[in-house]
Amino acid sequence: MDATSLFEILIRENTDMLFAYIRSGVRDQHAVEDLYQETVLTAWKRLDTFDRERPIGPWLRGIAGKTMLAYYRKTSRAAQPIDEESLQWLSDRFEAIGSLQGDTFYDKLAALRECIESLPETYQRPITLRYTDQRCLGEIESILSLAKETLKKRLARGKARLASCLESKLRIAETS
Amino acid sequence: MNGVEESKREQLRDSWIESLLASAVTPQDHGDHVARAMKRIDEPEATHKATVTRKPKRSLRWGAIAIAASVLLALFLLIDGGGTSSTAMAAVQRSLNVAAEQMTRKYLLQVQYRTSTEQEAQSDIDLYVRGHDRFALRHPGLLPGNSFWLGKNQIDEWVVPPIGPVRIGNDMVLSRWLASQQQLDTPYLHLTTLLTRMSDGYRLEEKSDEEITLPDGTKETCQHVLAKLQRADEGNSPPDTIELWASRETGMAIRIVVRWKLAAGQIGRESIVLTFQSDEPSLSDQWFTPEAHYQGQRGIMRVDSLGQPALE
Repeated sequence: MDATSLFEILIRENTDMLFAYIRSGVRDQHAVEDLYQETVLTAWKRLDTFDRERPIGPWLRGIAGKTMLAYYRKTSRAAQPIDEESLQWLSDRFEAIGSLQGDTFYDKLAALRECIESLPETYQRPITLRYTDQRCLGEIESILSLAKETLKKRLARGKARLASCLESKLRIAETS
Repeated sequence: MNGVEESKREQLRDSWIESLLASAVTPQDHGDHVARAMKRIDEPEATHKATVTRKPKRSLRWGAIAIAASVLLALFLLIDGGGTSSTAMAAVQRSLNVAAEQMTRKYLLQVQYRTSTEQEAQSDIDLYVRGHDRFALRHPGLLPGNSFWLGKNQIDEWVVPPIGPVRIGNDMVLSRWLASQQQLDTPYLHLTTLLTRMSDGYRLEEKSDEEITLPDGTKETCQHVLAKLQRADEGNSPPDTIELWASRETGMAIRIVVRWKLAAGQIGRESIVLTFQSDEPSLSDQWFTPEAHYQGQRGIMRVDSLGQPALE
């Protein structure tokens, strides 16, 4: 097997994680896709710097992080600047998810699906409609007969509960 | 943590969980994204940059040359088991494994031959190879600027002469064309002859390690294996010795020297030396097609080894 084929296998195994990592730092979906492409290309160019004794996930995240920082430096209109500390914070969490049971990133996120199941109905329903059914806010407002601001608050609180639940499963203490 | 930092951290935490939600609720299909990324990697510019940042030592890990590999393969298949050093055999086997890697490499191929005037003449030829089934070779012409290209890819053998139609065929095109060019002494013909005529055994012997300096100045510690011809069929002229210098670190063949023993007054090839020059990953598969080696319009002559040439 040649180097490119081997590299492609490694990238395929880590693409879900990479997308999730980049999405955590950048909201614009088109930018996420561009940054993913840039990350993979850079990883290929720097393959010789990768220590084969170590897992590739953190190395790819390191490249993705630098790519995101470069993106924010170039785009003054970017609304959510991140810094090295934020990236480390994120990477630690992805590292912890990587240590969970499961062959794929999706398998490892079973912990988060359990957290959704355990949410009170008040938060579970908006979360499910928004992320599982991918409904827009207007539709969810109609389905649940909620005011826009109430729905936003429920979604925000629901997500905060999910974050706490997952951090607890990952044995991460959130200090903020 | 102050209020601003706390707010920023909360926002990040929200983005983190939102991103995970997208991945957690439905298995993601990123096949297209991966394919697009890999396509970009295959583009010459990307791979070229990959070379620039690669350390010389690492670069040796990938690659070998088709002809060198063929010589090694012939050795492996034809050596006489009796008396062959097992470590020497292991070195050849390791080099063979490395030779199977698919990566474009540039080699300097030097052919030395004795002419009718007893002078030693030498051709320096650029050889580009990728795995066992692709190579492109630029042979200097008889006149300055008159070089020609010949090569092979997975489908065709081809020749781009200095003038006249490009010959493309699927079998023995090179041999037939070269055979018609009496004045040209090409290593391809030599090695084809070598491989098809070698029918007797070689004995492998492991020599002391040697350090070889590569063109970029890197020193490579190499395992040195000497293969000596044990016996030859009457009428055949296999090389007398074949020497392999394989990297201790990677197993890659760094240099191969093939020597023939010429009798006094006999003319013909004396040696072929293959020396690794550089990685050339910027050269795509296209490089191993004839179109990459001429400009403008040229006639194409399809040559079937069993049939008549046909102009396209």
